[in-house]
Amino acid sequence: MKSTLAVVEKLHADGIIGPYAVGGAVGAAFYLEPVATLDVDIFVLFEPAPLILTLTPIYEACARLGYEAEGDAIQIEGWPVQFLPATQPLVAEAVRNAVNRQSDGLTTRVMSAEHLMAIALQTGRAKDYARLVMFVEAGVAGPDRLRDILARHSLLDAWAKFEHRFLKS
Amino acid sequence: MSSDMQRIVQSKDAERRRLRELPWLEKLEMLDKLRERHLWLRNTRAAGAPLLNAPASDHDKPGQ
Repeated sequence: MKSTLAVVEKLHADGIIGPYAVGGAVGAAFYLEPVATLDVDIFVLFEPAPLILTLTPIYEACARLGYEAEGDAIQIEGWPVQFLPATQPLVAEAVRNAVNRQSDGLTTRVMSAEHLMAIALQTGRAKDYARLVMFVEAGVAGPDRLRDILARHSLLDAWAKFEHRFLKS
Repeated sequence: MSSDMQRIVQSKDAERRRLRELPWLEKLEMLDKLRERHLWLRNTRAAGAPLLNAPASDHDKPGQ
């Protein structure tokens, strides 16, 4: 995984991808106990937004580095990596506000805990709710910041339902 | 909740807290191992076997 994220950062440094952020289960692992996952979600901002959004340049650059596409992901250093355009407003904001992490020569960018929670709530699959419960139990999110994000993206009702369903026991 | 169960829950919570507080580089290494184990388990389980329609084991039989 370290080598995978190093390649993603290199793609960014080389200008192949714009601002990016690690999301999904791998992003959550920066804040929570790690949970098994099969792939890496990398959300990428395309700025300025092109007329036709295509991931072809990313696939071509990866192929030049020896990383081939497999289904809807690219195999990079043993992990399938999905490059996902951050076109939806909440996801785009999450990428813009991503946190830089640096350690031991590795640099990467990760979505904030609050944005990961809001995206999980918006996505709303069983595994997203499970991750949300883990975030709540861990107490790693800033309540004011989370409320602000939820309010701006019309997710307060969804949050109330989530609380009622999963936290009121 | 019984006191035994309470102790188990507390111990699990403590372990989760410990894992949560590991340096993120260590957590990335754990993700590698978790993925390997997940793939191994998936490959060893009968592909596509329905979870609830499996033949009853002795344990499931009435009176066992």
